[in-house]
Amino acid sequence: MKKIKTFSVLAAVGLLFTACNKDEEQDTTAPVIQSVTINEEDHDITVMVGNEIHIDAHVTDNEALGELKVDVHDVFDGHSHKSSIKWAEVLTIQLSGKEQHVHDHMEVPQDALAGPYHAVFRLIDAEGNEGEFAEVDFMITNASQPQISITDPDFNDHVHVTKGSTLRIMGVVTDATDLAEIKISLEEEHEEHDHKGTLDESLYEEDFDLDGSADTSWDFQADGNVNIAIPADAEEGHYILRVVALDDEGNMNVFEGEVHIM
Amino acid sequence: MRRSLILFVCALFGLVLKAQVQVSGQLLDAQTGEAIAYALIEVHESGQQTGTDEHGEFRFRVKPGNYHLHIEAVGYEATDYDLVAQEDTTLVFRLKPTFLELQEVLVEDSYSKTQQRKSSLSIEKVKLEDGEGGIGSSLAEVLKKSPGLNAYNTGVGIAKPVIRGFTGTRVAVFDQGIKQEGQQWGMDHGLEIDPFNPQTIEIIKGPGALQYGSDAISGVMKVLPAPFPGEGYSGSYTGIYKSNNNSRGHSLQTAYRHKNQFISGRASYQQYEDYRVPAEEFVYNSFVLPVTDNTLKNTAGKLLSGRLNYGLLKPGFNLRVMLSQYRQKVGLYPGATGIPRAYDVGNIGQVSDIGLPNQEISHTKAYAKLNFKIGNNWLVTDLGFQQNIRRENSRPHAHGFQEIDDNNTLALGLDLNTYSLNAKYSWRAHEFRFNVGTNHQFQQNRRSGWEYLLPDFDRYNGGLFALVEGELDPTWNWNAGARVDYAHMESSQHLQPWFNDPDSLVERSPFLQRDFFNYALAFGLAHNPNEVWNLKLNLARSFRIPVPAELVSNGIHHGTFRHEIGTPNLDSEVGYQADLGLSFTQKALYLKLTPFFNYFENFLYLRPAATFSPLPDAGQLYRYTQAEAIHTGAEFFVEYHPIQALHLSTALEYVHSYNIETGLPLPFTPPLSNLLGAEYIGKINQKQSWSIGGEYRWAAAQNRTDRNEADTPGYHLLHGSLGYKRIFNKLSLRIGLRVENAFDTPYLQHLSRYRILNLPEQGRNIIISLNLKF
Repeated sequence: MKKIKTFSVLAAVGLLFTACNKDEEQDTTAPVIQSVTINEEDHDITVMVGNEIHIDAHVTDNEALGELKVDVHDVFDGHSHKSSIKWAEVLTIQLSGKEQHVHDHMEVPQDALAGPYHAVFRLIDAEGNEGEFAEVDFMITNASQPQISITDPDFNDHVHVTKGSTLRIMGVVTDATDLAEIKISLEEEHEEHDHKGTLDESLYEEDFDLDGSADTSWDFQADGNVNIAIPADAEEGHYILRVVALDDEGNMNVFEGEVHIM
Repeated sequence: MRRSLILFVCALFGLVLKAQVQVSGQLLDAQTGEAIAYALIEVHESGQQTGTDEHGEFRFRVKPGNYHLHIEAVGYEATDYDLVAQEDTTLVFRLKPTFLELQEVLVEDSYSKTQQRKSSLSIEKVKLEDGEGGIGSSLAEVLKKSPGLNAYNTGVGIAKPVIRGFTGTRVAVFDQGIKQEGQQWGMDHGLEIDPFNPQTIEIIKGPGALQYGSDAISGVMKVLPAPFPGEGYSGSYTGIYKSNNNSRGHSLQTAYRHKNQFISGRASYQQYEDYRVPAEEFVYNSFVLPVTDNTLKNTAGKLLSGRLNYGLLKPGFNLRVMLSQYRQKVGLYPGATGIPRAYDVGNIGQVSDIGLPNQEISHTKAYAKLNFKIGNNWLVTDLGFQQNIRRENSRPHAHGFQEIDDNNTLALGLDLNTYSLNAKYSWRAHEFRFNVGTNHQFQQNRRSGWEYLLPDFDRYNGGLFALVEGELDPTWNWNAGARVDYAHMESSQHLQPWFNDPDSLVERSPFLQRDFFNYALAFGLAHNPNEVWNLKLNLARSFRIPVPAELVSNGIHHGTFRHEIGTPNLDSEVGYQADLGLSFTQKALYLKLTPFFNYFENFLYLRPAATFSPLPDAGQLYRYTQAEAIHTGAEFFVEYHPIQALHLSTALEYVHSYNIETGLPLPFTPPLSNLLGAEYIGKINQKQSWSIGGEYRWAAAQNRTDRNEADTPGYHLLHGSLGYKRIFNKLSLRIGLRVENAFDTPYLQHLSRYRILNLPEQGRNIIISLNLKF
């Protein structure tokens, strides 16, 4: 009885030690995406349909790189139109060595919908260790997307608004065929650039559905009465005025302007 | 002529009179010799139950034959006895008094209930008060009190039992006699059993493959049937409220018994909102994401379950029939399937809504058990049917399926029908107990939905086993057994349109037909040199047949959020296992040490392939592979009663795993952990008592992780409880107040689906429960 017990314990310990000492330290260090750019920029990127986008990535690993995957698709945030399919593409690039500068291209189809898109970069090394992913946002434009033109206030200059006053937006949104929806919001700016921010500190939020079949023009004052009352107790700081316009084809355009409340 | 006729008539008369024999006797306290009143004696094979009167005396009648008696009395060590009843018999049992709660009950070993000390395997027993299972966030959570047992959870409401770090298809779960079949290979597939229902759960920590088949390679969890109700009408109501997620649960149970028949039923309903965590944000992939109002979006759920039982006891046979249905709908945190986005997870919406993505389950069971007497012995047979319907719902456009109507939210549907048949016969001969049995199961899986993970398949699995038990001398019990299994599997080829080319068809899974044949062996010893020490040894060679998911799956599995691919030519897993148990028992002190060692040939696991999935927004491929692996560890448990009313305990558990091929640990290995418990029961009088207790859980950091598995920091948790019990004339009332995570500690749990998002578990939870028995 005692022999069986001693033997099995010894066997267990023995096996454990031989197994542990057999292999060297396993590589579990993740590879790193040092930088990614689209058309050599990492923000404020606009691409016209029918053009090529240049993808550049600088990647490193402690032992051996494996693959880089680039996923491009829209971030229209749930707006979906059955009639049109937004462009999406996947590209997988084989890597080697401990460091590589990747350069590749993607063709934006002529019939791609205009709107916000992003590219998600995923990296694995030769052992299968997964690195953190990286994202780059960009806008695709085409000839038939909605155009947002704000004449007042002038967002090329600093826009200041005092608490208790009213922010009047003047301008027009136009489209070649038919506008479908316009969303306007005034929200607190966040340090992290996320796609739409959270629901807190939203001073204004309006959704305008344009049900006609040939809405080619929409006026901020005449059609939307966009006069935003800034509460007297509003928190001072930087806010973003965001206008999202969607047409019947599914093209989207987004305008973002900074407003300083004081 | 006339004399022989009279003799013949007398003999005939004698035979008729002798149709049943009388067994009578007395139960006495082994130390004082006093009579033990109101104890319970159960005849295993016939199901008859009888109690002792105020003189400790009992009496019952059985047909001549061999029976196994179970004797239990509160405050005494339970015992069992092999009865050979060919004529009227008188027995005297002397029971040993104890303060230790677990010594009051028996465990099921091989074919019948027996004392823990005689079993060679380590068996944990979890005893729940009526409805108490509803206090946890799901049934598997009740296991956490016991060393070596854990739960792998997906938020609140979904949890799988984990035995020594193993779960899924390495742990067999039995609800009464039917093996639960609910696609348990899925990490986000929880147990589909009404948490209010179970009263006694037995867990075998170690190989149960011999008797329970392939899936029991690392453990068995058995929900035992409720005892026979008392004569007449009886029932109970349980109501539970939990503050953390505004959970309201109700369970009503009723029973009617008339002589040797009974009918009973239970209906349970539970509804809860999104749960709250002690964090306002979480960091994932260097993004800081909000947890608005400390609430995890879309983690609400509801549960509805019903069960009907019928039982019939006759001297020569007994029958039990069970019908049940379990329905559940649980929301899944939207950040867990894809990259979490601030606008999505930050907008919590209505906390009571169950939005998309979510999981819906409907699990129906029909089961019948028939025991009948053949000669002096008994044949136990059971027949079962289960239908498990799973639906995973989400938005097609969120997964890149743009050509699908956004109102079609059925991502994955899995319909699994399982038919089972089991039979077991046991007998005694020449001082040995023999047990032979056979198990058969036939399954059909049919899939639906716009996403693909695994194909339609049909599967048959059958096994034959034999067990022998004996005594070398009164201090040495031994057992040995062998089993053979055969499985046949056929899964269909599946062609799926490619995501950006709806007119194309790509083969995702090939047609596969496979046969498996394997065997299992077991040998065990239990040594009781005296009343105090007990030594157990169990050696086994077990196997596990791969399930279709491991062979032919090919798609994104939401249970892990990975693209998983099966490997069609995998071999069965084979394990060589050694379990030891050393225990020390005195009236008020109990110590138990249970080390274990497993060596697996062909351990099946998901290996990162270092190649990306071609599917959009999918990471790298994980392929089912086999490797040699070592899995070892131990549990240490102490229970001490300085005075009878005060219960102190500590339960320490440790698992060490190692994949010999990769040189890394196995994934989802639970950390070193200890649970310290204290409870004081104050008896006001015979009819009233109150209790106060606390638990302190300490978990070490888990830094032994597999590739791409995150380390998890250690944590401390404090729980407290207050209780009150009162017996009125015919009513019995039990009120409980419990605080879990009293300090609202934010902690990450290694065995959690949401771990990869760095989401903490539930914060402080105040639970109020009420149970009324009538």
